[in-house]
Amino acid sequence: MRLIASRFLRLVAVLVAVTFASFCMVALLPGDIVSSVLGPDATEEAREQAREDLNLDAPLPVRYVQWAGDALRGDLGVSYRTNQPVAEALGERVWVTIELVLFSQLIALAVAIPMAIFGALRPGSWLDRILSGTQLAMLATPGYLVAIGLMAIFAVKLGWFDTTGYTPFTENPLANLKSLLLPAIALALEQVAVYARVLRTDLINTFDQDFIWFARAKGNTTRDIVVRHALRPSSIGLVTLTGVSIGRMIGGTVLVETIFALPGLGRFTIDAINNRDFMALQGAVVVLTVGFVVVNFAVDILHGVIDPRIRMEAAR
Amino acid sequence: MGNRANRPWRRIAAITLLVAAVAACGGNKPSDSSPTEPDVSSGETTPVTDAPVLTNAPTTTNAELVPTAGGSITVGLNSESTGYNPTVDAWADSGHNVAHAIFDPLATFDAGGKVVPYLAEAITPNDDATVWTITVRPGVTFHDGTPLNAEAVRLNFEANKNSPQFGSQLALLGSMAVIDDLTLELAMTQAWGTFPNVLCGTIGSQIGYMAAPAMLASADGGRSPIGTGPFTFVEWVPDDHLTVARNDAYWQDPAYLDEVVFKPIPDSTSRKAAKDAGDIDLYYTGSSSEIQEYQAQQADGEVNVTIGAPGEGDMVMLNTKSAPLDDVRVRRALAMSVDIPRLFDFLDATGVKQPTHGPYADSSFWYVESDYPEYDLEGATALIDEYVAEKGPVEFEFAGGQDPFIVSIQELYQSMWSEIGVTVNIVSRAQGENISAVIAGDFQVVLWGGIGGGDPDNDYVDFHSNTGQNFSGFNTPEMDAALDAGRALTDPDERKEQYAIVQKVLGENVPYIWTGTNQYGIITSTDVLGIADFDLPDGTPGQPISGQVFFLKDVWRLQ
Repeated sequence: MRLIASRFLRLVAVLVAVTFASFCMVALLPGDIVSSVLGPDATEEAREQAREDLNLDAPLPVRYVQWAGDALRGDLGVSYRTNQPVAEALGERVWVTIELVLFSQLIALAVAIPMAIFGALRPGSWLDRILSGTQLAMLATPGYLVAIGLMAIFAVKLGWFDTTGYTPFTENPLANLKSLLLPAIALALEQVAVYARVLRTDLINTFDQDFIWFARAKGNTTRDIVVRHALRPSSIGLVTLTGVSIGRMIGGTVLVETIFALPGLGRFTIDAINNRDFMALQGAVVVLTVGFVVVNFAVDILHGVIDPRIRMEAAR
Repeated sequence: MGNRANRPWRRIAAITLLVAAVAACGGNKPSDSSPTEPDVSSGETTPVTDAPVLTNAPTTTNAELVPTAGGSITVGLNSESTGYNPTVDAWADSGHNVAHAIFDPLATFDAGGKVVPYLAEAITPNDDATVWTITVRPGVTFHDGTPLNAEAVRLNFEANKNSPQFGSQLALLGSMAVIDDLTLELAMTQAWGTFPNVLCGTIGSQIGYMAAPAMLASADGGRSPIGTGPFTFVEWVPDDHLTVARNDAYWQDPAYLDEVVFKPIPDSTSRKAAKDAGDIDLYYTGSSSEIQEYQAQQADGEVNVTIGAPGEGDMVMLNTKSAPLDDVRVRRALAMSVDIPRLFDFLDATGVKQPTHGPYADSSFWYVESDYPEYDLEGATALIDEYVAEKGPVEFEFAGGQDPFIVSIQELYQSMWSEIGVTVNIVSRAQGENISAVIAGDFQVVLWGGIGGGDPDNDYVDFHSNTGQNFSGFNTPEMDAALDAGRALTDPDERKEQYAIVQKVLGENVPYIWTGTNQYGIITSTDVLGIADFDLPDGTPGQPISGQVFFLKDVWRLQ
């Protein structure tokens, strides 16, 4: 309970800091919001009216407090540009991004864990060296190149997947999978390398522990040793990293959603920034921040599940 | 080419499209002017513009195929729009292509580029073009069943007049009167001979689209648009797709296609990949290299390529208020040292782009020869030497976007200008920042777009002294008078005389460096036909493609 309370307070503090920072950053960007909304052909009268309607003449902190007050009441406002309620726009897009990020995390873990295990079992072997080299290549390849390469091979050349677009899961689960697989792989590849390298190192350390030697002496198979004894205590770093990497993955969705034309939050956010759409951007920032903090809160809970010592320490 | 506007969308489109060495077309914007002796001789208004659409694709007739109803196509768009209310949401090319399916413009272009009534039955001026009468076509209904009548047209004009975005385009509209159910009279505050130009539904000019009164009255009407067009709105998932279905109650023959799905794909590489993979059936590109690649594929029967009429050209704008560009010798020398074939080679545009010598393509009805300088490196060097001897070295900032391709274009100019002894400092800015800098006059030389190409009255705001949007800072009383006279006249030949004066003054003084036309290619699957077919209500051919905006009414899919 105490843990939940402290995490909630942290969430509030982070939300205030992040939303205020994004408010300031957009205000500092060159270019005029009214020009962006109305275009330079609008009359001075129309500009003044828009300025008044958008409350742009008020000091930044005042505007922020007004926005935060409305947001606390559940009103995220209306997009300057599209006149669409921000909450409605976010609702249309957030699931695409959640699905994309979850899918890519699953892919990253599904590939990284076996890679790490095989590498850790025989450190320095030819297999370990090949896997390490592959991971380095994954780290060094820019995401957009991976995305375009995957599209060129699997969508254009082989025709196995759609190049662009999104089908909701509720409409057609198989088509949903097909529309998200390539973007999810593009987003996952960099994470695969990072996850595999961290887990490999932790596994190598764990394999050197007394209890693993004891398990070996008892005649446990390698499979049993890895799955039942080594993997769990070696996963703390990986689980932490999985939570932290959510932020980086959300950043990656901007690129991936643009290349694969997915109607997600990343594309929405970059459009809001490009068009100085405060309201839309603030809404997106709130959703992304809450998502990030909640995921990391879940990671903290998982730590306790994985390692009883952490659970006991928290209880004290 | 159609009607164009001097507004951000046109400029943003043109500047953005430089990334792919492409171009846009636009609309019209009237503002204050002092007309002289307007002469309106017929109800048919404004004139021939550029050359008619060129097409390489098999048309319905030349392929000797009979169009059949049915089928669906997916159209790839360059970008998503903020909404589909023509009086609120400012559209780039993508928005207009969707709008052409759902709405009908009051006027459009015939095959020769002349403005003719379309949804309106007639658009006629009084003798001095101060009063225009719009006669609405009888029996037309919006998709929601409400009739299109004079009151509905009035409501559309009223919404545009009150629109912060588009009100300035109707600055000359004084009052409106519904004469009878099908007749609307518009009184202008002064002669406005080119009024029908703004009614064609082209980039930057969307006040000609007629939306249902119920849609105009709804705060979120732009999310479920209701027009009179050949297709009715079905659903819109922003950033994913917008679907329309055939309007069986259309006032003309119903469209052939059952359904059209528009997919915004912002990344150009992905758009091309989507076409190559067959995920989309039609898209448009201004990239010369892509057009050439598809033309090669067309020879193998893999795709169809339809090329529209030349649009406004690529250009460089010079700030004539800023030294050393305030000296005409420097401006002429810069133009004389631009090696157009070298530029076209660099852009992979040889054989696609045509060189220009002024705001209007050589093939345009409006084009007249001027004293615009030809390529002459020696002459340019001599002019610079003369300037340097008098006033010192020639050095300036050359602004453009941040895209590496834009920067490489700037570097090519830099290299050509360095050959005559000019020092060029390249400045790269974000697109919005660049536009703001130009509006504020805080530039010396800039890669620009959105001027020239269509009806010369569209360039009024760019060339006239009293508009606040003459960003080059160059104007003369002679040119102002010609622009005012051209706006008030309706006879094309008489108007051309006025615009000949404008071109002559521009050619002598070089506030802009013109390079080449922009062309768009519409790429279609081989079983999608009819993109180059567009019949007017009287059965005569219309102009199917204006820039990158096309009609889908007569497009059909081989079953």
